[in-house]
Parts: sequence; structure tokens; C-alpha cells
Amino acid sequence: MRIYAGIDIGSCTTKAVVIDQEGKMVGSHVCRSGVDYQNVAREVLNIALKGRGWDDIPIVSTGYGRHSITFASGVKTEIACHARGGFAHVPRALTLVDIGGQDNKVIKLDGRGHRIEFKMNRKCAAGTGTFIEEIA
Amino acid sequence: MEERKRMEIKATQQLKDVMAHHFLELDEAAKTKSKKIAWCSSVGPAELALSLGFLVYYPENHAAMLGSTRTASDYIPVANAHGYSPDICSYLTSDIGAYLKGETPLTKAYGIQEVPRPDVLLYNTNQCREVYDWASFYAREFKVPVLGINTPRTQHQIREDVVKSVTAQLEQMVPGLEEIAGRSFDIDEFREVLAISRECSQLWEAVLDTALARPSPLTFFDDCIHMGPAVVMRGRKETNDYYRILLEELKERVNQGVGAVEGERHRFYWEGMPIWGKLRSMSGLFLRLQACVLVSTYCNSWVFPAFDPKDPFPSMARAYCSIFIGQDDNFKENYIADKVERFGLDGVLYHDAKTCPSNTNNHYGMANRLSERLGIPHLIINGDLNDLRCFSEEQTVTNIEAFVEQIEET
Repeated sequence: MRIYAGIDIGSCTTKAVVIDQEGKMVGSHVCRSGVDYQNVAREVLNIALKGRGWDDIPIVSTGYGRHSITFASGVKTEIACHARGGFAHVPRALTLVDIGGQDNKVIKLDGRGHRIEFKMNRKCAAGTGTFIEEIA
Repeated sequence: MEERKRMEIKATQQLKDVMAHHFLELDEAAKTKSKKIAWCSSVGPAELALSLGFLVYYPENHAAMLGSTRTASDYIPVANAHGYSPDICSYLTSDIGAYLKGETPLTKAYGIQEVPRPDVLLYNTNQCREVYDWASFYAREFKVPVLGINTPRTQHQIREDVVKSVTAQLEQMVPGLEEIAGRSFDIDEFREVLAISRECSQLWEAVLDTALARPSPLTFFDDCIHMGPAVVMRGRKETNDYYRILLEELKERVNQGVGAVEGERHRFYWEGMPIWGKLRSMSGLFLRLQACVLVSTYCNSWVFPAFDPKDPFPSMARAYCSIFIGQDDNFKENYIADKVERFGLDGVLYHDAKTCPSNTNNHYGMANRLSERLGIPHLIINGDLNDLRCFSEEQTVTNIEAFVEQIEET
């Protein structure tokens, strides 16, 4: 079975997802990002892979820490990833809203899944995950 | 991340010499009183001052140095404590803050201990009203006169009554300048200075137009550095000598197919002010993405096709009334559309500068209208000219990377 991994190293949490060649999820894990993105990415991926080796697995990194790890075979912004993933589940023109840890994104896709436009919030983090955690 | 080679422009060394000479000359004049010094707003009546023997210093250029050395944020709070809001022009607040603190980046760059004191302050509100407030502060500090021009803005087209008014205001400045200069105005000397400025404008435009080539031999980030002499030394022969050297080098690059961005794949327009403290890092980011930001409103603002030594006062008035920032949105949209088509661009980047609404053009729907009209996407980058507290590095990097991804997927 061929598998593929994606790691989203966000400002608050790091997520890893492993899918098979049919797009079915076969493993995942989430944990706090902390400050050492390389190590937390390895740890999250290991847990998501359930101990399987990863030398031959294509890995795409995304999120704020996407450039901080050395073992990804590809790097994409989370905007690209959300668009691709969102369209895979809802294959029509749509608008995605991502409430992230420190920023929010709104992404508009056309009927082919191509991005027409996207917007992120400015520097202010009001309304983002961090803000919600702080006031909770 | 794949590192790409940055193509440094060889003429940059001569640029450094030209700029050094400019500041050291000002410093010497300030210390020895050998020449009078006029402070002038960036699109103010510099040629008039030069023809009367003044050396000209530009506070906005000093402010840009504060921005590019990333020291502006140290000084803005000093101006804020003095009463200037953090919402207003960060050129003004950083420059006044540096003055209040008694510091200047000229010290590290050239060994100059303080900015050269003015004998007169000149302004033109063609670019914004705030330059008058800025000049007024220094007028109170240095107890020197302020002379200036009030130019109506948001023009739909260049109006003859406006040109007439500005012409009259320019002429009315002469007696006051003569008194300060201690000499009479000479129309022939003024014509000569204007002729030199016109040639500077033509050479600078030719430099910018080398970006028509694919790949472009230079980027907007290069333009921001090399525009220095056109801003602070137009009207002087050594400026034109420098631009001939630069133009020669760029033409050679074009002939050899050498691009500023290795493997140039995307070509962009930059609308708005530079983010001075991030020129190098943004240059590196676009280089990595094989995207060339090669045309801008800002750098084209020092092209003055109207200068005419045969008709000096009216032509100077027309030139300074015609700048982009003073026109309405219809004009601006057509201007940008023309540049997008001429330079074959794939997208427009709008810098939403927190403290410069005059130079920010994405607030009233222009970005969407132009994208619809031209069929190319746009991106809005939030930041500021000098106040890096208004700029978020990672959000900007994500925005720009996602923008290039979007174009590549289309």
C-alpha cells in the first residue's frame, strides 16, 4: 500500500495526517507545536505513522513552520492545502474559512477547485484560536 | 529552501559614491556656511532652490534611510510622546523622533553627526498635506521660514486653472528665496537646472523601462535603491552621469538575457510605498519564488515628462501637478492598467501602508476593479513604509507564497 504524509506545523499545534493511495486516512496525530518545529514534526509524524519507517514516503509540509523542517519532500502554504483538501471533500465552487491559531484565512475556489482569491487577517489576532484560548 | 543567486548591479558602487558626495557636501556647507541649505519635500520646487545656489536636503530621504536601516521604530515613539499620533506618516514621526533624540543614520553611514540645518524649508502639498506640518515643526525648531505651494489633489485630469495657480505660487516664492539666498534669481540658470532635471527624468525613465525585457534586468527593490539620486540630486549633472552608467549596464544585461531573478517565471506590479526595512528580505523571497516585481507606481513617480526649459515656471508647475498621487482613481486605474499591459504582468501587489493613506490605493475597490478589468489577480500586503510594528513577516511570506502558488495553478 502506498502512503503519503502531510504535516501542518502551525503556530499553536502541529498536525500530521497519513493517507493511502485512495485518499483514506490511515493515521493522524496532533500536539502543541512548542518552539522546536523540527523535533515536534518528527514526533507527530512518528505517532501518525504508528512506528512505520518513513524514508520512502512523500511528505508535504505546510503551516508557519513549513520551511523549518528538513525532511519534507514538498512545501505548500496552508492556503494551498486547505483549498486542495476542501475541494476533495466538497467538489464544487466554495468558500473556505480557516480559523487558525494566529491568523484566519478565507479562500474562494471555483468549480474546478482553483483558487480565485484569498484573504488573511492583518497582524491583529482577535478572533483567532489564540484569542479564543486566552479568553476561555 | 532552494537558494538562488542574486544578480548584484555593478553600478551600485558608484551609486554609493554619488550619495556619499551629496551628504558630505551638505554637511560641509552646514558647518562652514559656505552654501545655503534648503530642505524640500520630495516633489517640491527643488530646481528653483538649486538655481539660486542652495544645496537641497530632503527629510523624506532621511526618513527612508531610517526605514531601510530598521531604526525608525526606535524613534517613532519619541515623536508619539511629543504629541504626534502613531497613525500618521511614519516618515514624519521617525524623522522628528530621530531629531528629538539627536541621532541620525548619517552618522554610521558617513560619519556625519547631525542633519544639515536648513536656511529655508520648502514644501509642495501635491503629494500630501502632511509635508506642511512636517516643515512647520522644523520651522519652529530652527526659526527659519517655510515657503511652499498648495496644490489641489484628486484631479480627474490636469486642469489649466490649477497649473496657473501653481505657476503663480512658484513665481511668488522667488523674492523670499532671493532674500534668503542673498542673490538675485536668474531665469537662465533656472532653465539650465530644469534642463538637467529633465534629462535626469528621461534617463531614469529609460532605466525603469529596461524592465520591459524578459527577463527584467532589475527589480523594484533595485529601483528603490537606485532612485536615490533622482530623488535627492535631480538638477545636478553628476546624477545624470550616474544614470548613464547604470543604463549602460542594464542594457548590457538585456542584450545578454541576464535577469535580476534567475529563471523569471512571474512578473508583478508593486503599487504603493516600499516597505523600507524589508527590501532585502522581500527581494530574497521573490527571488526564491522566481517572481520579479519589476514595475511600480512609486519609482515611476520621479519621471517628469512636462519639464520644459523654454517654459520653466509653467512646465515645472505642470510636472509637479501631474504626479500619480494627486490624481483621481480613474487616472490611477488607467495608469496601472497601461503599465500591466506594457510590461506583460501576471499580478498586482498592493501595499496597504498603515500610516500613508495617500499612497495606498486598495481602500476603495480599485484592486477588485482592476483585477476584473485586466483578468489578473492581486494581493494586498499589510505593512508600512517605516513602522515595522505594522508589518507581520510570516503573514506576508505566507500571503506572497500563496499568491504565487495560485498563479502557478491557474
